[in-house]
Amino acid sequence: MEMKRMSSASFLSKYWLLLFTVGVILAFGAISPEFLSLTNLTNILSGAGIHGVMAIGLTCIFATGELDFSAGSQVSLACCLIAVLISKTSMNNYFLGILIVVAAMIGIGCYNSFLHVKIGIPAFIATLGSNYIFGGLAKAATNSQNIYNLSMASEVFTFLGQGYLFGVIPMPLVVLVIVAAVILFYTEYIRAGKYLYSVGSNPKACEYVGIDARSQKLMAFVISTVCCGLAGILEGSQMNQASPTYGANMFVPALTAVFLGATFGRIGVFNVPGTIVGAILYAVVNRGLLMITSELWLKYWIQGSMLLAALIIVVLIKKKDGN
Amino acid sequence: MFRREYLAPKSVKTRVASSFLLVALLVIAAAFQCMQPKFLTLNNVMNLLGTSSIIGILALGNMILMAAGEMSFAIGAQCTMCGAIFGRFLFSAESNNMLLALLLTTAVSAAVGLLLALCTVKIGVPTFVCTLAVATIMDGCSQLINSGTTLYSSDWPKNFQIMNVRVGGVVPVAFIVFAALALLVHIIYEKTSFGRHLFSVGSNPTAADNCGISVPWMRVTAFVLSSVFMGFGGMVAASYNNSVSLTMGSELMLPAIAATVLSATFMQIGKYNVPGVVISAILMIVIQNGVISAGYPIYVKDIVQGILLTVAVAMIAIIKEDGLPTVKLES
Repeated sequence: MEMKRMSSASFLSKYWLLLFTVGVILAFGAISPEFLSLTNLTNILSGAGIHGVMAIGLTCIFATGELDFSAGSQVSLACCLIAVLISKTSMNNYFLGILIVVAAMIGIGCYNSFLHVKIGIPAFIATLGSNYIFGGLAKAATNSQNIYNLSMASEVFTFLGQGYLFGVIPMPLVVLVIVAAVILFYTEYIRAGKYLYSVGSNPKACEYVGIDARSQKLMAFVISTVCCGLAGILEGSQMNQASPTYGANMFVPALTAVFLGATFGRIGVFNVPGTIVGAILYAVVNRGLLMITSELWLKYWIQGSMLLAALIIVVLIKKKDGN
Repeated sequence: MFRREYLAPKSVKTRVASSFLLVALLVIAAAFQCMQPKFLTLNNVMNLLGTSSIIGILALGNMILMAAGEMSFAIGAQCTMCGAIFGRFLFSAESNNMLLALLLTTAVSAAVGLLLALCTVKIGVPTFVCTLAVATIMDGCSQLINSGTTLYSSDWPKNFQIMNVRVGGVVPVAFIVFAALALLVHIIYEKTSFGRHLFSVGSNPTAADNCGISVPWMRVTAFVLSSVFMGFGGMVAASYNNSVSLTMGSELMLPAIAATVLSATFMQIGKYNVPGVVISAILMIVIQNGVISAGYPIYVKDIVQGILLTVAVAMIAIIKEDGLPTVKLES
């Protein structure tokens, strides 16, 4: 009996984020019934998909204990790059464009990890510098302006962001599921992927057992930048335009999703399922508040206090478990 | 450890690296002077110093926090909110007591520091994400105070723009305030036991604890002190710009963090220091102002600043094994 109660309590503490998300959805549904309409829910998932893809990338780099400050400008750069490739050059093959952007993102990931791993600059300082450089390049590509109406140049441009699979499932969600499945498989079922977490939790021990922390960090940087690149492509496609400021606005939501995610499942560990739940919760709250009130300050207050409350709860749970 | 390093003769490489920032400042300023002959006129130089003092004050506060081994994402939000409170208090013609506004804003910023310290030091929430959450709440406060737009009032007292006044027609008051604060922080940080304790808490908390320094207490002090500086930065910015926009702080945050980080590459390598903060704050603004006045598009500024930051820290990282202080990310 005692044991069963313990386990239900620990179940609650592990999965409360999901329950909370469901509770928030129902609460918004009670306040305004349109919230629960199919179109609205798919819109939410479509938005969550884009932030989620970026956040999953960040989860990998955070798992190694490093911080990538340049994630926002990577999103901007990818978004601007594909827009310029499609609209300003003679090339109008969208899929070739995606390939080029992904290749560029891999290069950027290598550059970041070169600074950190090879030269030895702490990651957050190195990426702070690259944040300026990538942001500048994104502005240079578009000449600090927005590029509008990209579907004119290539008809398939808006498919990834606005399209639906089988007429119901939004494409960003499909991309999110694919990316999440790949990363989850990599980090949970492949030994090389598990090393990402071991490097983050105890670099010294990794050194003793012969895990090369540097190659793990290279991998994490590349995964993170490629995910950010995909998020940038999706965002451009959904908005049907490109702007060098998109990334900066997505950085904080993605960070929030990642940190909320660390309070789900394996508490205190950045993990992919948690990140997805975090991204959905963020999108739900964002959308719900937008439907209920137009007061921006209220939105900020609720978002901020929700995150703070979540963190405090988790810390208290951990403390209780520890004692 | 640092005492020994002072005594040991510095190698040529270290000497070159530790003065890189100053050399870069001179070279870049000279380059802009060649492109735009009006760049180094007295008027423009004073303008540069005035603008750089806002970033500088924020960077000083951030330095106190980073020296204690913490990192804040709330710098910008704090700056905006405090500027907004300052501006809103003086909004109507009836309430025109600047001193009262100053005290109130300082009290609020200290309270924010205490809140951050309560969450991180007492409860144990990881700093980075805690400051992210508090920053969002403070953004909400700024929205509310500013009613969603840029705050400006024609009823602001005459002295509101005091930071923009030039003493003797030459030096802007903002820069004098910045210089005074920098001197104060420099003395506290380098010459008092408090400053040394702050540094030791940041560089090796376990050792500091073993030496009988109260690590939590030092962190609380660092939070409150740095918050007061952010508040001050907000007020100076409000006064200097004669308005409070909602993005005022968030635009200043990254340059302020960059200036703090760059300071660890100047003179005392691997240790955040005040002269470094002053030089890098000026450097950031020189690049920004120079790029604009030479007629280049604004993205050139981003790229030059990014390359400079990368090169400066890369040099230090190559020369010294454990060159730069880092921040460990917790969940």
